[in-house]
This record gives sequence, structure tokens and C-alpha cells, in this order.
Amino acid sequence: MSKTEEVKGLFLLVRHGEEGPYLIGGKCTSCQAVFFPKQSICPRCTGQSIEESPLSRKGKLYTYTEIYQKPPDYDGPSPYFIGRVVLPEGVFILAQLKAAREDLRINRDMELVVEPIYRDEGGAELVGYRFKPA
Amino acid sequence: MRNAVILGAAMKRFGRYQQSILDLGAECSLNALKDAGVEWKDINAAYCSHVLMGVTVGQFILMPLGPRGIPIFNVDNGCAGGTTAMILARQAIGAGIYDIVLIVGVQKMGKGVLGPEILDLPETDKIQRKMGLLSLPSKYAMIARRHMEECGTTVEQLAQVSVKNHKHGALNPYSQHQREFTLEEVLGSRMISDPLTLYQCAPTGDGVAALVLCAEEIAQKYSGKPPIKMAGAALCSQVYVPDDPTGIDAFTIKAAHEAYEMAGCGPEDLDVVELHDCFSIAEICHYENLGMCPKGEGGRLLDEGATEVGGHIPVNTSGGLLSRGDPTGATGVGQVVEIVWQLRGEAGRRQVSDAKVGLTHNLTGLVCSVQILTR
Repeated sequence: MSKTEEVKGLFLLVRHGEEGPYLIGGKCTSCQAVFFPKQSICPRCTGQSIEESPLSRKGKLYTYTEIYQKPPDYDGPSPYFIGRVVLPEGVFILAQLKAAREDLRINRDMELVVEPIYRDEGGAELVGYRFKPA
Repeated sequence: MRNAVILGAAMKRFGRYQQSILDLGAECSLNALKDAGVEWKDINAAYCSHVLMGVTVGQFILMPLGPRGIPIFNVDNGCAGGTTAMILARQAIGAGIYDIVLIVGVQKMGKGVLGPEILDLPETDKIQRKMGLLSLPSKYAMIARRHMEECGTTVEQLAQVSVKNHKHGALNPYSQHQREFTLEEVLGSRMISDPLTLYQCAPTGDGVAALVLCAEEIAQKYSGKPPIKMAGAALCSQVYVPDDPTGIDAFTIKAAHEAYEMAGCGPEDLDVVELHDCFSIAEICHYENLGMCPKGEGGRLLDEGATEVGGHIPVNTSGGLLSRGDPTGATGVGQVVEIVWQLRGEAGRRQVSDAKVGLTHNLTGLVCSVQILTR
């Protein structure tokens, strides 16, 4: 893997390219629909010829929330921010946000980062993708 | 297609119970039969709605009534299971397969935040869960934040949904909370997912509710109570919308359109509505999705008092999910029980005067049902 590298633990979602990490989208070769995560069947036309499509690293914040009560399976610190970022290709990404409360407003430019998010009780590190204000 | 009607309705106050769900379900089923003036031996088939309560729960619930070899179907469609069961039963009655059926919705729940409860998730979903991305309060909080940005909806309006529904719930002896909350109490309760505070999230709990449905042409043989017509019903699963992959709007709009068309009526004809207010913001969105007001004006409709008992289109007279409770498998049946009581004039202190047309709207993550009931 000279040009790209799979990020440990996120191999289905993220690769590391020359210009940094990117999310692995799926693109239907029949109807051209782009979606994330990549799946083997197109959700628009049921086509099964899906190619890997590197997604833009930047997008705009569509909406967000600060979570105080942790959901099941999340062992990281709280409160924390999550949001949905819309990319130029029209794909909406649900992700954690790395930002101060006062820096978050709808429509502001955001960019992707891939980094450790927390260690769980067993000491295992969770690497994840987040968006931060660009 | 033959028309179907609701002959009998019963529920137990939603809350927390020591008794087994099997005992609660059997007792509630008998109460619905009594309300309908029907005997167990008259029932041709039964449908049991529940979420992950166990294998053939419906058969176990109805065993004490005496096993008679009738078909009993277990229906799991999340929080929309109760109305899903009704829609299946309506189709079977319509097709002439059964004349008279029992619906029972049952649930016992743990406490805390609900997530997607799929037992064998794909790896990508597991990673998203570990990153803390998948929970219901955060989903609705993000819907709220966007609605505030686009439509000018305020945190006070969100909280007012809860104030209104708890006011109704305080008048309903079957409501889980049964007390009023002030705007300050709602806004001041613990933050769950900003801007949604604890009292803007439906409580978890236990519940049972039951109905007896039959073909309209044989209804006069039974109960002395007025049969309630199932005038329109639609069930939709998620619609492919690229920018709203898990949203609550598209399938509600579709289901409402289909149900109105089947019933030959529209939102202007409604006298009383039970809609799926699992979180405060949901009620404001669904005023719009059900056509009760234009897009973006849900907050205004609420401010005008239109959706309170006494207003021109009372919503969630039972207290809604926020006050009456949301024991998933029983939730939709409970909504229908409230509309039946309203249309019969049996709703006590929360009665809407001369209610003739009611609507139920019941959903879960990927399913939405809308039904029009008339007297």
C-alpha cells in the first residue's frame, strides 16, 4: 500500500491517501448514486456494480447536537458533539465533531480528521473519524 | 374489500409492573373482549405486537384463555408494531379471511437510551455505535437543531410540546406520568442531547393494550357501543432520500397521503390526532408532515393553542408518548385505544366535543403508519 493505507480498525470506512485521510464512499456504476458507508447494493437502483469512491475531505455542517447521556456501546468522554456534514457530492456524513460549542453553527465549513477518540475500559484505543471547523 | 371496524378497546395504565407480561396481556385481552361484547370462542385469529419479548409470546399470552387452534401471529415492527398488526388484521378481514380478530400489544422495557436493536449488526454499524453516533435522542436533537435554523423554531416551543402533552396526560388515568410540568421544569430538566432535555423524551415503561376488530357487516351482532370505522390505513417503510437517510418526514408524508386518500378525507377534516411524539420536536415536525399546517409553521400552530384540548385540532389528548408513555410494542395500540374512546365520547375530562374523525400516526426508525378512524 504505497499510495493509500487502511486505517487500523476503520478499514471499511477510511483510507489514508497522499493528501490525508478520506472516507470510502460507494458509487453505483449504473445510476451514479454516491453513498456512505460503501455497501454492495445501490440503495437507489439495486445495482450491484459498486466502485469505491473517495469522498471529499471538506463539507458544510448541516446540523449538530451535544450529547450528555451516552448511548449504548459508547465508552468515551461526555458531553461530546456529533453532527451531520454534507459533502460537495451531496453525501451526508454522521460523525463526531471536534470543536468548541461557540465554533459550531449550521453551514460552517468543516474538514475531516482521523485520530484516536478514546480508550475503552479494556484499554483498547478506538480510532475514528471526526470533522473539525475548517 | 369489506370494511373493518373496531368493536372493543382496553388498556392498562402504562408504567412499571411486577406482573409478567403474559398475565398482563391475558387480562387486557379479556378486557377488550368484554368491551366488545365478544367471547373468546368468537375470535377467528389474533395478532400480538411486541419488540423482542421472546418466541411466540402471543401464543403464551393467550394460552390461559384456552387454546383453540386459531392462528396467532406475532408482529415485531418496532414502536409501529401495534398499528402494523391492525393493518394486517384489517387486510385479512377485508379479504373475507376472518370476521373477528383480537389485537394485543405488550411490552416490558429496561431504562435508559434506546439504540438500534439489531442483533447482528454489520461491522460498519458497530464502529458507528462505538463512536457514539447512533442513538434516538441525538437523532431527534439534530432534527430539532435543523428545524430551529430553517424555521425559527425556539427551545421554548419545543418545551411547550411537552407542557401541553403533560397537561393532557394529567387528565388521563391511563397515562404513565399523570402530572403537569411547567415550562421551567421541562427546560430545566437534565440535558440529554442538546436542545432536548429529559422531559422532552418519552419515558420507557411497561404496557399492554388490546383491541377487537371485526367486519362492519357483522358488527351489530355484538357490543352496544358504536363501532369505529377503519376508514383509511397505510404503512410505509423508509423512503430513499439521499439527504435524509434516517429522517422522519418522507415516510410520514407518504403514509398520510395514502391514508387520507383511502379515507376520502384530508387534514382539515380531523377532530382529534394521536401522533408519535417520542421527542418534543417530533410533534412539531409531524403537524407539518400530516398536513395540519404548512412546512415550517408547526411552532406557530402550537403557539396558537390549536392542538390543545379546546383548540380546533387537539393532538395527543392521551398525553402522547411524552406523558402516556412509549412501551414500544404496545404504543400504537394505546394510541388507537385513545382515539376509540374519543370517538365514542368516553374520554372523560380530556374529551374533545363531538369528535367524529381521528388520526393515529405511529412510527419507528424505518416504519411509519397512519390510520384514519371515524364513527
